[in-house]
Amino acid sequence: MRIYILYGFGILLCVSGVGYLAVEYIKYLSEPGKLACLALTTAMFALFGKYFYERGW
Amino acid sequence: MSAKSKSNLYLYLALVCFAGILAIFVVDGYLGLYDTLYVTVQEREQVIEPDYWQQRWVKESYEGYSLGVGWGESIPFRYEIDNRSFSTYLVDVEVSVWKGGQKIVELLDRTEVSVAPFKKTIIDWTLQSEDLGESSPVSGEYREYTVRIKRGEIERKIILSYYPVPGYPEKGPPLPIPVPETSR
Repeated sequence: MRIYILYGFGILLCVSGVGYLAVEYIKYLSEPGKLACLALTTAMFALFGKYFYERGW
Repeated sequence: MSAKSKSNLYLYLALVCFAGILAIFVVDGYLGLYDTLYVTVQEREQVIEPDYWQQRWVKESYEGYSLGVGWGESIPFRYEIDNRSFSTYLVDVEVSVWKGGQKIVELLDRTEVSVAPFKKTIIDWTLQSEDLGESSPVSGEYREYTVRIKRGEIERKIILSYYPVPGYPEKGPPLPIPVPETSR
């Protein structure tokens, strides 16, 4: 049980770190760049969702 | 197509999207218009990179870049515009010196600059203390002037703090050495 708490804590730190970096990078992007990034992020999450669905998760 | 290869295809496409996001970060970060200012003061060249103007405290307080200059020193400026885009960049550049909200001298009067795609253009000018129309500051006095570089809608400010340069007395005849009177 304790190990899962640690895993959860690690994942939370990773996600928040990536989120922080993304926010910092996004500041310097142009408007078309931001839009393209949003479209690609949406597509990426949709495809990941589809991948896990196909694998029966 | 088997179910496994189909699910793998989704995974590869998701990774391609991730690679695309990273590519946008790199390419978008490279493209754009960048201006670098080189100012030589006391034989030392100061380079003001484009990132300086992007800092939050500079943006919010609209502060300029401060430099200390000795009165009488001529200050050469070099302004480099780097056009990292696919079209020619046309802009008017205006440089003037201000003090207390009043324009004192115009160093560059609405000069039209054209920068070809992925090329750089350098504009240079020199500021002499005599152009400011004032006499040398006295000992302990500091005078501040703002050099405003206007490029289209964008403005860069350099604050120059002039201080007096101590002068040495000219060499004259040697002072007479007092000879003590001798009593005879």
